[in-house]
Amino acid sequence: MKFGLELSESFNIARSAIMANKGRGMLTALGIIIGIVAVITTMTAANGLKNTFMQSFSSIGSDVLYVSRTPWVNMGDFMQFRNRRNISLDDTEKLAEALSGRGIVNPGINRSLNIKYGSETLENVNVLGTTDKQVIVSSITPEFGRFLMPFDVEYKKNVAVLGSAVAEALFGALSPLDKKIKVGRYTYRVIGVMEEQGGSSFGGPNFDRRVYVPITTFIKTFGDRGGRENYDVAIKAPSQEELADFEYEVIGEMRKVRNLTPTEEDDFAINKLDTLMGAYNNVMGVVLLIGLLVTSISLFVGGVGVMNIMFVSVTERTKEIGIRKAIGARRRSILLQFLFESSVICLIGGVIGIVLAALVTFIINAVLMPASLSWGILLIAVIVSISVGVLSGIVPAWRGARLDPIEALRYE
Amino acid sequence: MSKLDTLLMSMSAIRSNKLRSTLTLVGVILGVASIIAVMTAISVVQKTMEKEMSVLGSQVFQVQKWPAGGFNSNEEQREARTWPPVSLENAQAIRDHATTVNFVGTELWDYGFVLEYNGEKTNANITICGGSPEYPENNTHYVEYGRNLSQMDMVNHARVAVIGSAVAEHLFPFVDPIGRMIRIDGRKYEVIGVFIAKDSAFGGPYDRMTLIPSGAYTDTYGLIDPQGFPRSVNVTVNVKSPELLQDSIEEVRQILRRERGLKRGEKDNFHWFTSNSMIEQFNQTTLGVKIAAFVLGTIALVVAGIGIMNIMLVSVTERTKEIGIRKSLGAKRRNIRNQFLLEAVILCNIGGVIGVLLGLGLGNIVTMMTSFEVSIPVGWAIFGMVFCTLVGVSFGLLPAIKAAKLNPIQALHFE
Repeated sequence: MKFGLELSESFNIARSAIMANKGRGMLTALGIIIGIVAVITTMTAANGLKNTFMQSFSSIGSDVLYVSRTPWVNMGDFMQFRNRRNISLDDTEKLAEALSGRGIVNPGINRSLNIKYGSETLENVNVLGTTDKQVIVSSITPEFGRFLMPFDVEYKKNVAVLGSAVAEALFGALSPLDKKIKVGRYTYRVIGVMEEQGGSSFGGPNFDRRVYVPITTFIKTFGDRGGRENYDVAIKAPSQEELADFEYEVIGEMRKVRNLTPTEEDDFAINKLDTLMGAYNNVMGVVLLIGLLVTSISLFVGGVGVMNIMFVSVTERTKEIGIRKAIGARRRSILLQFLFESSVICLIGGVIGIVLAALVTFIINAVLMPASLSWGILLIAVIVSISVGVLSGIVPAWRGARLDPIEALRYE
Repeated sequence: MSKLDTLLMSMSAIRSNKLRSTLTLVGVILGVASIIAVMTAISVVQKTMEKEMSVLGSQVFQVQKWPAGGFNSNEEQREARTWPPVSLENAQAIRDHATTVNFVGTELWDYGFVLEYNGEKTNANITICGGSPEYPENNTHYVEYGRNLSQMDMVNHARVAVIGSAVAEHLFPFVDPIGRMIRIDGRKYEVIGVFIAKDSAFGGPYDRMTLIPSGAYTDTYGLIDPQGFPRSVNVTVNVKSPELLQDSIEEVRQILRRERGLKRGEKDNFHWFTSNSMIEQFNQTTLGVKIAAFVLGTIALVVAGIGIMNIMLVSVTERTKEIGIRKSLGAKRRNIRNQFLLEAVILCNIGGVIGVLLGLGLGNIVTMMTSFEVSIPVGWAIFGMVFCTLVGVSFGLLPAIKAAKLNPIQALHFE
């Protein structure tokens, strides 16, 4: 009861002290506001980048393994993969046979070609020769029309499914369905348009700028140099839980397909979404850490400003402290009074900072990338601003609390 | 009242409040140090990269099918895939027709070879260059002992090799390699020379490379690479003088366009680069990082500036009476203003000096752990000091004006 009274009394004194020096309080809080805005914006921006990255790769299912000649992510010597054999069409067929009944295998071959419709030309579009299983291993589905069917692949039909960006660029508002386009030098009929995936603005691959054609037609029209061209294989695991075991199975079968002896190293790579995300997190983790380090310096500088002002505040009110002590105030209540003062300033700064940061995040979200504020970040911001207040207030408050009442009363 | 008096007065005000001045300084120091540290670190990396990329001499440019350096888009890579290779005949055409050119080298590169001497094998990471006698001069990678390739070797497709320093160290720790027979990929070659060591912070291929005549190379490996693409030659062109570089690039471009059958209006189907063009490209890619680092660093300095303003306002209030006395004794507004402004600027500059030194130290920490070179970006250090003064003036101005405007009678009343 008595402690409660002491608390509310200290709080009231702190409040009136801040109110008495509004300009000073505002400037002090401004330092904290800027610091909090900087830190939160860094976090939300990193968050937004991550969302964009995830979105741009969302069509790569998390339960799908890609067998390729080289790994997607390679931090070391790229040249060590240069002399690997290509993965041939033959290899992909053997692998599909070995894994039949356990995983869904989809071979793919791609090339960069010009796409033409009427007078419109789109240069260097990624043309992917694939099968009807593409929609199973990837999560992008057709928005209009249909995807490739087994008979398209079987009978080497000259049909194409357009990525949303390609359809948009060539046809605008017109319906592309059943229109004849030129892929390289060959005529294809458009049978479908894929839904938009988005998120490619930060260097990720643009899966919307792509044309899907049957793999058999691809080989017929563009050729694969007698099967020597390099293929990729996407394999959907039976389930997410079995992915790790399934990976070993795929490696084993692929080694058999490639005729590797037990002592030889793999001459192919298994890629999956996880490796990509892992590599991204490694890089972005460092960037975020540096960003937070640099921005938290400004928060720290703000905290130093609070400490400085609190010292001034204690000095200015030395006489008041002396009087309070003389009529029976304990060290604790003096300490609390100043701690409240610094914490309240920082908390106000923190709250205003959060509001401003939310505004900045909103703008980033509207014009740049899908960034969002999470409750976690808000909670961290509030805790951080209170801690800054307590930490920067403790030394001045302690100094005030320890004052000798006689000396304090004498102070001029 | 002289300027010196104003200075002394400001100094004594700073000294009399040691704790307050120190805390204010801490803000400025951290703000400046963070900017300078980041900029120093960037300039360290940049200096190292520039050195790495200055492989070609100042009067050399290189023509190749693939885009140069690691900073080009996938679009460019894909585009280049469809182009015909740059051939040895193309290089010969430059030799025959270009008037601004000293000499022209050709290089065919391939990677991941094993070299063997007397049963001792290297790892499969040796780079082979099927080149010409111009290689050392055009790549500023000279032969240390033994001899370079000769025209004779080129004509005869001789099985001779100039080996990199790391290769020599590995295979011939105790004996003179010159005249010894090594096996490259199983085939016998005679070692005729050893390259000088060329240190490279990013582990470039120079010390692990081996130069053989291009004829010997194509005899063995053919003109199609393992992926089935026609091998494309990197052509290094040594121009008669550095001033002629741009003219020569234009001349060679036109020769190649004619040689490769390009019509008017068609885009070049080859790339060219100089050391400088690669460095420029790198600088463009790091510009974003620099701007971001600068903005983030500035925030801390602005916060420090706000702290200074706050403390100066307190200082003006505390010294209201003193200001009143000075004014009634005849001090002008200007004197009072300068006194407080100077106080802020001195504080900022002390902080600036310490901050710059701290930042230079922090930014160079990376260099102690790696083979990067120590870098002291003088420009940024000066900028840091100027910026500090600016912060001091802009945040000290308001309190100083407030002090100068005080009415002496009221100021004397103030309790």
